[in-house]
Amino acid sequence: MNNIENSVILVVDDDHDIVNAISALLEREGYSIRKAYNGLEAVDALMREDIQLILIDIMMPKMDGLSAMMKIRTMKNIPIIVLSAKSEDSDKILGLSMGADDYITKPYNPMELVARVQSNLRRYLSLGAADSVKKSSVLRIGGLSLDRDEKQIYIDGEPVKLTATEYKITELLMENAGRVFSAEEIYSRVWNEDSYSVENTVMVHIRHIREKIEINPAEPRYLKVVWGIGYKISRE
Amino acid sequence: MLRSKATRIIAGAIACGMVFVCGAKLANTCIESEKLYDEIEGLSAYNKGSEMGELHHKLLMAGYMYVNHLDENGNYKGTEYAEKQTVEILKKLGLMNAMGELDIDGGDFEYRVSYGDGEFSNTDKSHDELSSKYSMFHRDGCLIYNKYAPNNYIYDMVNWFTTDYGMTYYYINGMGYAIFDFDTEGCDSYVDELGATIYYKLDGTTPIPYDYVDLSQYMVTEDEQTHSYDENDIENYEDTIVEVTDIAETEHAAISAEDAESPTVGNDIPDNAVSVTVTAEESGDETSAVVEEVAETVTNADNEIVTENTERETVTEIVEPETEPQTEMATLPNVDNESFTKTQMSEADIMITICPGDSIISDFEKADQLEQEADEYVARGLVDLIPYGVIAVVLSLYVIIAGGYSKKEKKFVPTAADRVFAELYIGAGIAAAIGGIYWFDSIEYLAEFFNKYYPTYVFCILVGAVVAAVFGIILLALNTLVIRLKCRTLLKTSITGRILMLLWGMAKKLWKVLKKSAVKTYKNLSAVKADFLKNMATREMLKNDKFTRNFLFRTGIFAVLMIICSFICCLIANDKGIMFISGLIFGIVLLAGFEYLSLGDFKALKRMNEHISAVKSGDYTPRKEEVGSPIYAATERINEISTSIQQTVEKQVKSERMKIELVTNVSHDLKTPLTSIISYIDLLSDEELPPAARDYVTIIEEKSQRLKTMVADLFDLAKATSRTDVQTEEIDAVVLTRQVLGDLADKIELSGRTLKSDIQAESAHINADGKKMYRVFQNVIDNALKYSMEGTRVYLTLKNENGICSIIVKNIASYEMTFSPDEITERFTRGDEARSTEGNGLGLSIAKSFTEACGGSFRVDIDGDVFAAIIEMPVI
Repeated sequence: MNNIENSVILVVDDDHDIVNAISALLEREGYSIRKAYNGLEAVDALMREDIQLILIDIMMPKMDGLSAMMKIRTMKNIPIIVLSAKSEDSDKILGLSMGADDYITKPYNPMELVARVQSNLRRYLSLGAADSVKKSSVLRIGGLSLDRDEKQIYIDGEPVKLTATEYKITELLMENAGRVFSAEEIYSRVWNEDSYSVENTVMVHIRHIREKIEINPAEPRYLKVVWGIGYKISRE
Repeated sequence: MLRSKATRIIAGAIACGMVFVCGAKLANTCIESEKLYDEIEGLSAYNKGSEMGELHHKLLMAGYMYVNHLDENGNYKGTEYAEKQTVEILKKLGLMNAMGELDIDGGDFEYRVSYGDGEFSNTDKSHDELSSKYSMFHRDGCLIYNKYAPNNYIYDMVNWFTTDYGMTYYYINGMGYAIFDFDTEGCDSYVDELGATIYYKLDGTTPIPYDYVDLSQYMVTEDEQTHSYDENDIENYEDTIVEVTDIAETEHAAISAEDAESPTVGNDIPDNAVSVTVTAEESGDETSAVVEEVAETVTNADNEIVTENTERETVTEIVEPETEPQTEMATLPNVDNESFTKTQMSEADIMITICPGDSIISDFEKADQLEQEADEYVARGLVDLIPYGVIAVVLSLYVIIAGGYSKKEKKFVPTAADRVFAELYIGAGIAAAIGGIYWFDSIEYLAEFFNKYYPTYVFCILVGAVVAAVFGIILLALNTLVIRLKCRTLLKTSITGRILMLLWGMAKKLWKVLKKSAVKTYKNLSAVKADFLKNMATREMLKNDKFTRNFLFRTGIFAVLMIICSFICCLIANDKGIMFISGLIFGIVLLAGFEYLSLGDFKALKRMNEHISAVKSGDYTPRKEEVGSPIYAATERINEISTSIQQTVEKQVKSERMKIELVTNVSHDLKTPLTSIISYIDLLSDEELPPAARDYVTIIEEKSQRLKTMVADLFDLAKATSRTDVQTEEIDAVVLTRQVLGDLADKIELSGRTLKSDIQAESAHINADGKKMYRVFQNVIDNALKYSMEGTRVYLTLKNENGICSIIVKNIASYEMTFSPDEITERFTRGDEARSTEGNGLGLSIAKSFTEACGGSFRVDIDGDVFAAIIEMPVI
């Protein structure tokens, strides 16, 4: 089985400087890098080599990222992270729905990029085995899983330390994934007390949870604030 | 003191009291004087008056009928027939004794009557000798008599005339007497309505009487329309009349019928009393109808002088037979009635003097004296009243002049009583006056009644009280009216005044309107004229304005139809009811037609209105109108306008899209090199570097981060301005605010400032994009934290009032704010000109753009060092 550290990552971008920069960044973390400068090359490289993760730009000559992604998806099940200057929601949704596992906007934070790459690799490599051992007590949403027996939450297989309250909130939201909870509801169900002006309390907890389970809390993947209404963990 | 109300009230009361005294005294005087007058009436002289009158009347008759015809020696001048008849009548009237001499008993009086040469008297005294203070004179048709004399005497009409065929007719006390110069033996006769037997001859020497002609006529026609005494009788005895054929017999029958059936007349004129003679010698060719013309006798009602102003006049009346003589009338002689004349005699020539005899003259004198005394008594009584009257008048004048003065306000002030309608007071005053007058009308009976049962003073007090009451009411009414005049409230406080004021106001308004419209019309006319001369714009307008054209056309048609209908109405209607109904029907039909046609116009207007509303709400689909429609042109124009609006909007949308595309591309192009920069800086920072180089790297890293944010912000701003990518949903501003506060709790804590939130609403539901609003809040709070003075507090207030949710974030600036509220929301404007702090100056611009994109408003208030960001969202 491939070790995460020995994973081969394909970086695809028409900008050579960016490819080089990312390569340097990831090589520093111990990954092997393959480079491609357009969609066709990427597909080519993929066919030739054993690659565990792809970082791909969307706007590229010859074959753009989206087309390449569709092609890749017909062959391989490896994680694909889109790396694009297109930062609008519609772009992100499009990218994710075309088969991307993650979406990072340019200019990216190098640390975040590394974290995401690691997170995706981990999920792909180590959690893939865990898939077979399906526990009924485990709730799973994307890379986020919750083990009721252990009262433990894992992000891409990595355990996260949460307080009891934080755990309860996360559990409530995960059990009802996709549903929006108001602060009052969360409070009354988690604290088992009548609520009054608890927005702040709940919000602070939410923020703490987010800081713990999200790679970039400002752009949460799992725990989302529906501004002016409440909170939810979206079903992927 | 004179000005106080109390004084006025006392003065008014005293005036009333004075009037009371006056009334009582007057009543007393009247009662007392009445007693004196009663005494006079009790005197015999007082009653002698009627005797005197009767005597005068007798003398007058005797004078006219007999003395008139006497010569100097006392012999009768006329024919023996006339004398005989006169004597008969005088005997019947009791003026002549059986001897055929005048015999009139003068009683206590001496008299003399003379007419022409004739004279008759019961004394030797001449007219002048008989003249005394108490005598009665008849001179030149005038009667002058002592004031006591004719108390019960009615001066009857005495009147006479002569004819030129020998008849003299007297009219005395409502009775007629005819005396004829000729022998009436064998003459036809009839009795006229005054009871005189009129003889006539059919040979033409006397006129054929009116009634003769009528008689024969009525025998045939039996016309019931008659006022004649005889005719009526004949009507009643129609059977008798019809049987007789001889005219004379008919006449007899008529007379007998009259005698039998008219007791009133019959009694007065016994058949034998009037002898009728027909004189053959006086017969002439001409026949005349004598029409009685009774001279108007003017009887003066004055107790002292009766003037009978009768002039001698000659009247010739023409009387034509009303119908052609009938078959029986063939025997009538041809008499020209018109040729006879009658002469109205005057009584001016008669001279009568009646003087009370020595035996009763003292009585007269006594009565005179008594009366003088009574008059003096009354006069004295009246004079006695003067001081009281004067006092009453003076006090009343004072009350009226000083009335209404208020010492407190130093001016005339109307009291509550002066605000009641003035008509009430005027009515009361008039009613009191009229009531008083009526009451005094029957005072005699009242006096009689009261004096019968009570002592005199009771009645006096009663009269005084009534007079005082009437006076008081009138004084009150006058007082209040004068007060109103003084305070100029008379018009306001009277119904009439109000109506007048109303009418005046209306008239004024009308005048104003008329004046205005006249001026306007003049101006308009001149303007129209100028326009017309300039470019014929008016005509052009009229040509294009189908509404006006329609209206004028319809009005014209309507007017023409109205005229035609009016004519038809007049033609078909022969009475007012039909005219009214047909007019009404025509009117209704025409009006209905007019309305129906107008309704079409209004519908067109409505369609146009709808069209405009549709355009306003963004529906630019062109509409179609028929070419003949009055709004055809307007609709076409609206279509043009909406098309151009649509094109403009499309263009704008397109340009917006292009702008966004541009910004997207630019930001993409910016982001790519920025990505490299950031990446390499990250790599560089891991390298072994000299300390100085490491510092440089840190600075570059910082700046590149800022550049990154700035690019992102710019992009966001551009998108917000174009309002694309806004996903509104119903959110609760209160929840949002709390979420933001929770989210930013750490940051706030870190900043060292305290944020005091005051959320004054349970909830505030707004339609907005939650993410965008989060950004707005974030920016505003960030801004407040960033630029507020160290150690101060930031205040956040949320209100939900009047359908607006407002969120106000206030802070005290750490620097002097020299910018205007508008400037700060401009892009890249930063409050601190030194730009010492982090930030790119886009925060508030983004907040403003995002708020506006969500349908709210964002503004900034600067008050000294207090900076306030105000977000307002409409609540749903």
